[in-house]
Order: sequence, then structure tokens, then C-alpha cells
Amino acid sequence: MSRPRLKALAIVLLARLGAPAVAFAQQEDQKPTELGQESVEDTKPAAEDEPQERGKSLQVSVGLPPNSLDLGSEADILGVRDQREMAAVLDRWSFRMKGSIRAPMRVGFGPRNDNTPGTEMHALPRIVGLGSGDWNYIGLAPNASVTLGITVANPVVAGTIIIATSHLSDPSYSVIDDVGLDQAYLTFKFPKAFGRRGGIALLAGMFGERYGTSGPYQKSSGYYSTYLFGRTHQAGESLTVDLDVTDKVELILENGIGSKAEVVPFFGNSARNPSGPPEADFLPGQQSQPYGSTFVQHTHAAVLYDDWLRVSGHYITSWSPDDNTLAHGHIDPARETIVGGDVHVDKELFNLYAGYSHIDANNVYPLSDAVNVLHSGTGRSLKLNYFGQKDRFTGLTPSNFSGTVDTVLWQAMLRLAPLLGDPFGSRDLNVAAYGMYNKAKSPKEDPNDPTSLEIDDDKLKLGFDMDLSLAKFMSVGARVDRVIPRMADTSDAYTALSPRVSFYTKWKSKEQAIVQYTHFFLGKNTVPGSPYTDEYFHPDPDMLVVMGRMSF
Amino acid sequence: MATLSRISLGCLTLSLLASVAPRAAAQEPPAPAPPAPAPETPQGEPPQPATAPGGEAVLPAPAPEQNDPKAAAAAPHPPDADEHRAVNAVFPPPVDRPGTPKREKLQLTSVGMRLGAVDFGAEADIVSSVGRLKPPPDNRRWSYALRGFFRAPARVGIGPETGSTKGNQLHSPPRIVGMERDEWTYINVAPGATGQLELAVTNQRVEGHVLLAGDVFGDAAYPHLDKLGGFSQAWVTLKAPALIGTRGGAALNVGAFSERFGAAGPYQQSTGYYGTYLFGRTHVAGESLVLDFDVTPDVELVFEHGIGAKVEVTPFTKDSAPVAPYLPNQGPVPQGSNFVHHAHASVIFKDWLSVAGHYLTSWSPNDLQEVTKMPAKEARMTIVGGEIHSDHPVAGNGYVGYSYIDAERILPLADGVQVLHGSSGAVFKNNYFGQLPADLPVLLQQGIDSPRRDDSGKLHTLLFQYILRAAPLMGRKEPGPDVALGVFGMFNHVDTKKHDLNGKEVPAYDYRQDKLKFGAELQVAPIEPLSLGVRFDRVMPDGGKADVAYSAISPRIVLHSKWIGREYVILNYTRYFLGKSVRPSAPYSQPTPADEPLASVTKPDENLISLTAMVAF
Repeated sequence: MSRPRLKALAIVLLARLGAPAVAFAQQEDQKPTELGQESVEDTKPAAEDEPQERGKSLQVSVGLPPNSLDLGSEADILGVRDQREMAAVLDRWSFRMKGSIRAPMRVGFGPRNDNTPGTEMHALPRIVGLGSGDWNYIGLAPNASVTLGITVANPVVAGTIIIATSHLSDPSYSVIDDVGLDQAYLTFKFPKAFGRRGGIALLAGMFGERYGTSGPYQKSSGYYSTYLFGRTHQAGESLTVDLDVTDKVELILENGIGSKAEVVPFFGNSARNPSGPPEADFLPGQQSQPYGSTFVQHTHAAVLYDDWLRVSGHYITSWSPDDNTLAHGHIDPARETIVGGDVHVDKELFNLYAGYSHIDANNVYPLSDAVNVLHSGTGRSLKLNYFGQKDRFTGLTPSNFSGTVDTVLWQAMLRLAPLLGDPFGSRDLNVAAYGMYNKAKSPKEDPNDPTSLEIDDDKLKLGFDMDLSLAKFMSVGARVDRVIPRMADTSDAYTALSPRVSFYTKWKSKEQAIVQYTHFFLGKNTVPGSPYTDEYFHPDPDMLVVMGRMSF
Repeated sequence: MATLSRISLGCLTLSLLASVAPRAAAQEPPAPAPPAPAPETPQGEPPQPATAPGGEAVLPAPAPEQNDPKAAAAAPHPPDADEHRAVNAVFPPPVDRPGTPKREKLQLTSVGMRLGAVDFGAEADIVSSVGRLKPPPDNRRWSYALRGFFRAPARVGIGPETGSTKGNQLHSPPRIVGMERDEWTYINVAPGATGQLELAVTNQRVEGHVLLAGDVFGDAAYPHLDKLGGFSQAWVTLKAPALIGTRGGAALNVGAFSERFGAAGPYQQSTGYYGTYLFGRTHVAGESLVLDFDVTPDVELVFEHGIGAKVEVTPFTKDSAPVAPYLPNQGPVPQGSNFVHHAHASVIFKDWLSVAGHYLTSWSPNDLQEVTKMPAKEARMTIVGGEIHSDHPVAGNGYVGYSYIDAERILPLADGVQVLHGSSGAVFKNNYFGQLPADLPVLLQQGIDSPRRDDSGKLHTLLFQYILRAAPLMGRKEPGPDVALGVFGMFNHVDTKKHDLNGKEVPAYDYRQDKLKFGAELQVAPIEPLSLGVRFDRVMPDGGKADVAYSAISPRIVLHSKWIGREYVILNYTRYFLGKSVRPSAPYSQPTPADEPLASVTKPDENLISLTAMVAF
């Protein structure tokens, strides 16, 4: 049989189930076959001396085969007309698979849990600022993370589905609330909407966008792994216009709107549940007040000059009608609004970033995590980070839920070796300086409430990092960080010194094995971060991290 | 990663799948590998080495002289070598250097089992080829496939403020009626999120499938444990396509898989407008045997028989069971071991007409019931019926089917068969035989039977759907502008005897109820990337009682990249016209009766806006 006929036959077979598979033959001449059907070779005409074979594909079910996809009635009335056409249409799709792995071993060395003299090892380490949802976080011991994204695309549209987790069950336990499908969205592209000057893209589905990332070329969230303006977690859309003003000046405008598909449900104590909701670290956690339906609206503009300068302005607002409240009568809506701007300068020898944001927060407790900004996923998290944390020594938590946060975030990286005349041969010597300053203000709203405080805090963290490439496969570095949660009282401040060795296969590679030791110089009132809360008062002063990470 | 073509992705997928395959690279004999097919490399990027099973990069096998310096020295110079020497050049002549000796063995990465190696178990050890000394499996004719689907909607309801019947408050998820597929009032205008990925390995005789699925995308929602999903199905299909010579063959599906019977969509490729199954969807581990036979070249006969069992049912905790919407629902009584037996026959004429008959029965010995007060009685649901699919290229896509369901004490039935918006016996009972009285679960859990359970009865159902397109009627065969009209509906007649009346036990009385929902949709596709449509639905759960009925009108805009696409962005608005007794659905009605704050939500949203992205590949 000729190859075109064979291909045509394959298309017919692919169409039999309506959802053509993308099959990959190990042999070059083996064509894709439909799942649940015979292969092409089952149906190819035999030689004259062989018995003739059946020309149809084999049915594997009277009903829908188990692997058949049910697109729903919208697709029925729009798309399905002829199965052969469907297979032909899908013939021009391409596929991509991307992923990342970060798998750390984190061990802390600190005071014994029984308060007897000596040191013991802790995993998880009982360090200050362990989680990225804590303002004290400085990214020295990031948690595990694995993502796998699959994209199917044609010139006009791309569909992406992402699987992600922050807990690997084999070396951990089954953290059942953190595994599975994470995002899914479509990207419609109209690259010639403005002729040769630019185009339009539309994102729709469930996806997260990130604004205010301080890493070079805004490709990473920088040393503090946070977002100056926010990361959205929503279902919705965003529309982006990309326009060349001149050959060197590019203008990008974006607007998006979305909502949390569902928030953690709230349970009060009731006759049915006298003990309240089930609570465990591996279950979705409600808070003392219900989350409300949460929505997001955001607008952005960026000007790019010659691919090395990017100046952006951002506006993001997240709000909730507080519709699940237990209170009666009129309820003020919860809202946080973020505005600001940032500048990226990315040249061959240096990368600079500076940004400023202003957060206006009102009654933020019912806000779910539609916007994650400055280490704060939910409204409650923002409140705890900036408007009064629970005091572990007194047990008191300020009742402030509104206020403002002004933030300056900066980061500079410099390839020092070329400037010094390459004293180490072809080896690089890189240095970086970075920091974040926050001004948090929250007024005392109720003069009769002793837990309502007048908050006016200055928060500062800054650091310096240096890395020297010793060999093609190895570099050594050291990082020093200073973290001051309240500049007026440094008793809960700390300093961390972290030498490290990194291994990789090439100078610029996407995989690293890192061995890092950190010694913390702790203030007298520093306490371990979550999940070590309430009864834990003494952080580990030393930590060892061995981490493998890779992206592909 | 740069864009991959099918072939290069094939290699990627191949390596991904092969890394968990029994034919581990470290276990294969160190024979020189055949030259791997070169992956298509994106322009501007260096070619990547082929990837071997086990995930390690493998270069094409070197020529013998490259590995052996002596052989290289003894090898004759290539004919053009002397020419290089004869030419006066700025650069020195090339020097023939012996190739760097390379180890022929594969690098081991562990003294123990290779990382990620599959442990097939003793059955495979003694039967097949996992062992190193056994011949490697013949994998030259296997192919691998990746398929997927997702639907990611943003759904926002606009309706009364909490604790009030007035106002226009935004709600996500919306507080609409018929929100979930498990409700009879569901009409599929705002289906929920879902996604699945399927990995398959096939050859001419065997298929293996692994399916991952979930109904929540964690980034945009919260970790709804019961919907997070994971490995959903895995099964093997053994095929004998020439068992009856050129007239047909047989297929045997074995494993944990789901089959769907009574799907109203065109070519039975979708569940149609109501997203349900007239005869049932199985959720069991077991087998199904299919015989596919050509009576004539135009007439095909397909027989199927299957049997299966729920691997495990939701465990029942008698006292202090954790209750939350994100946890598996244990139901009002312990679910028993659940078994399914089904048989089907279908006649297909010329690929456009099919007539099928179905029989399914799902039963439980009720073996986990409290037996101190009374012996356990079997629970059973039996479904029989027939259907006709007509998918004519000109006359349109039509479907009509009838099913008869006989249910007997079905409260302990798990979801071995999901039928007509009823996933489990308890859900089916609530949909058709009335809500279980709130005081009854406590008695039933203690093994005290009560006639008020009212979980037996009969259900007659007629399901129909018809889609007609203008372009084929006008003789146009190529894709292009089109107008399509769809009409659809479902009628159920409940026939049972009940013992509960307003919360009290009464002598058995006849309970008959008619349930009807129907609708129509008009869709216009004027230009290639855009379609406009409007859908109307009328839902009458209790005959002509208007106070529990509702209507919905749903204009929508659909964006797609081609006339016939597999990807859609749908912007839908629905206006509900609600009867005065219509209540919002789960999660706003859950648990029943709801606690605060959900108890304050008494009136559903009258407006719904949804933006949905979906694609299948």
C-alpha cells in the first residue's frame, strides 16, 4: 500500500473514536493509530498469498470506550460533523512538555525538644522563616516543588495543562491536599492583529499570572521568592495587546478579570459537628471567619526598550462581598488593592531591578488567595505579616484587618570577572545585592478594643551573595542575609550566613545539585516559622540543605 | 523547551514511559544500539542526543575503530586524506586522532534497583521477561500515545445577598439550581472543572492505558480532596481482530476502567445536553469481552458482556465521622461490596445508524450493614432498555432511547453504576424516590430497618436529542458558515410505593411522579473563529408544579480557532426564571440540612456568567 493511502487509512482509524490520539511510533515508518482500535497494520491489505483482512477497526465497547473523551454538548453542536475532518484538523497540532523539579533535604540542628542540654537534628528544620508565606522567609531552604506542563498547540491556539505539587510523598507523607491538576488554560493568539506592528493574545481558563518578579528578565521571583504586585490564582481571562511603537520600543497592555473557583468551606460548631470541622495539616484549612467569594481585576502596562529595559505599571484589586459571613446586616466588602511600578535593566554584565508597590487593604480577613502578594497568600496572611502577628509569648493577636503597606524591592546582579579583567580565566565571579523595605501602617480602629493597635512598622531585609565558578561543573558561593521584621525593635531580627557548593554539568545549565550550610545569628525573640507554632520558641541556629533542581 | 514535533515528542514520551517500563535500560544486554531516529530539532538549537529508556542520553553507537585505537591505526586512510596534505593551506592539515575510548556498558546509578524501576512482582518474574537473563521483550512494534482533555470554567452567580432575598451580590461558585451532575435539575449550562491525561502503550494485539483525572484545578480553587483526583483508571485491552477471519474479531478489556452506555451525543461521542447516561456508566474493576462481527459489508453486529466489582467502597464510620464537603461522602448507611454485571448488543448499519440494547445490574449483599438487629438484605438496581443513534451526514444527528430501572433497597449501593444523574444508590433514591427523612440514618446505622427508607421503585425514562445543520442540507460539504438547531429532552416516570408522608410512617401508598426537562439551542457560526448561540431550557421536577420548576435562557459566544475545532472559549450568560420553591444546589445546600452560613442562602442566583476554556487532544 502506498504511503498516502496508508496515511488516509490511518486518519479514518483515528477518527473512529472521535478523539484522535497522538501516538508515537518507535519505528519511523509506523504511523499513529487510534487507541482502542486496531493498528494500521491490522487493516493493511495483505499480499495475495495471505488471507484478506477486515477493513474495519475493532470495537472494544458497545458504549463509549473507556478512553473516549466527552466534550459535552457545546462541542456537539459546534464541531462534530464528520469524523474524518476532525482527524485531519488535529493533524497539525504540536506538543510540548515542560517541567521543573526542586527536591531538597532540609535538616536543622538546634535545641533539644525536651529542653535538656544538647543539640538534635530536625526535619523539617525549626528555622525562622521556613515558609514562603512568612515575611521572614529569605529563600534559603525552599520547599519541594515539581511541575509538569503539557501544551498542545496550533498556530492560533494553545492548550496547557499543568500538574504540580509542593510535597513529594515518597520521602514525606501523603499530604493529600497538595497534589494533582493545578492549572488548565487556553491561549488564543492573533499575532497579526496590528499587521507587522503586533498582535493580541487571550488567556482563558484557570491559571496564575505573576507580576513584580525581581529576577533577571523577570524570569524568577528573585532572592525572596515573592511578588511585589501579586500572583493571581483564579479562573478567568486576561487580554494582552503587544504593539511595536518603534523598532526599539514595544508597548504591552494587559487587562484581566477572574474569580476563585471555590474557596475553603466554613464549618462552625453545630449539633451535627459539635467538635467543629476536621482539622489537620493535610486538610484544607478554614480560618476563624469564612472566606468569601473572591474576585480579581488587574491592569498592567509595560514599555520595553531594545530588549534590555522594561518599565511597568501595575494595578491589581482583589475583593470579596464577604457573602459567606456569619454576621447579619450590612457587611463591608473586603478588598485589597495594589498599585505600583517596576524597572528591569538586563544587560550582558549586569541585571538590575527596582520596584515600588502600595497596598491598600480593607477588612481583608475574608479574602481567599486570589492574589498572593509579598509573602501573603490570603487576606489573613497579609494581616498577620503586616498588621499584627500573633505574639507567641503573650498569645495576643492584634485585631487590625485594614491598613496600608508601602514596599520597595530591589535586586542587582553583576558579573564581576570581566570587569576585573577575568582574573580567574574563563571562570565567572558573580555578586548580587538585594533587599526589601516595607512600611506597614494600620490605624487603631476601636479605641475600646485593647487588641486594636496603632501599627506603624518599618520592615527591612537585605542581603549579599557571591558565587565563584571553580570548574566547569562546580561553583562555590556564600550569602549573607539580615532580616529585621520591626526596625524599632530588633529583638526578633536575625542574620544568616550561608556558604554553599553547587554542582552542574555545564556553565549555564538548567540543573543543579546544591549543598548549603546556614548559620543563623538569632535575636532573643526570634521563633520558628510555621508549622512550628505556639509551643515552639527556640529556632534551630544551624541548617544543612542538599537540593537537586532542574527545569526542562 | 522548544516546540517539539510529534516525532521528537514521541521520543520524549517514549523515554518518559519507558522509564517506568520493565525493560529497564540497565537490564538490557549491552548490545550496540541501533541508530535512533533523529528527532526534529527546532531551528537554531543544537541537535539533542536521543534518549534511551531509563532517561539517560545515549549517543549513536561508535564505529568499532573509534573504540579501538589499534583498529583505528590499522584502518586505511580515507581517499581524501592525502588530498588534504597536498593542498597548501593557512591552517595545518587535519590530524587523524584515535577516538576517545568509551565504555560500552551503561552507567549504573544505583547498587540496588534502578531508580524508578517498576516492580512487576512474582507473577511477572515467573511468566515473562523482567529478569535480566530472560530475552528482552520485543518492543519494536509498540507505540505510545498521550491524550488529554480539560475544561476550566470561571463561574460567577449574581443574586441575593446572604441572608436576604434581594440584592445583586457576586458569588463564586454560583448559588444556582442544578449545579452538580448528581442532581436531576442539572442541565449542563455551567459544567464544572475537569481534566484528564491518558498515557497509552499499544501494539497490534495489546493496549495498556493509564488515566489520570481530577475535577479541580488547585491553583484557582482550594484543595478539594474529593475532587483532586489522581490515577483514575488503568486497564489492558487484548485484541484478536482476526478471530473470525475477515468478518471480525474480539477484544477483552481487563483492569479498572469505566464504560458508558446511553450517551445521547452525536456518534455517542458525548453525553449530550444533560451530561448523563441513560443506561449507566460503570465504575468497577473487572473485565468486558466484546465480539465485533460483520454480518454483511454494511451491517455490523457488536456483542459485549462484562462483570466487575468496586475495588473498595467509601468506608463507613458510625460515630463521629468526619464530615466536610471536601471529604468522601460515606452516605446515610454503610455501602456494601458492590458488583456489576452487564450485557449489550448493537447493530450498526453503514456507520450512520446504530440500534443497541442494554442490560446492566448492580448489586450488593449489603455485607457491611449492622446485623445485630436484623439480617442484611440484598440491594440491587437493574437497568434494561434500547436506543437508536442516527448520525446521517445530511439528516443530522438524532438520538432516542428508553430505559427501565428496577431499584430494590438501593441505599447501600455504591457507584458501581452511575445512571441518570444518580451516582450511588442513595443519590438515585434522593433524585427519584424522595429525600431520606433526616431522622432515619441514625436508625438505619444501628441496623434497625424502617419502611420509611423508601429506596425501592421503578423508573421509566425517555431521552432524546436531535441536531440539524443547515450547511449539509444545502449540499455544502466543506466546513464554513453554518446554522445549527438542537432540540433535546428527558422524561422520567417514577412508579413506587412509599411509606413516609411528611416525616411520618404511613401504610404503603402509590407514588407516581413525572419529571420532564427539555430545551432547544440555536447556534450560528458566521465566521471561522466565532459562533453565537442561544439555548433555552425548561426543567419540571414534579410534573406541572410550577413552584419547583424553572426555565433558563442562555445566550453565548464561542471562540474557536477553526470551523471544526477541539478547543473552545465559551462566554455564557444564563438568566434563570425560578419557581418560588426552587433552592440553590450544593455546595450551598450541603450538608443537608445546611448549617450557617449556608442555611441563610435560601434563594438561588438568577443570573450566571461563565467563561469556560476547554480543549481535547
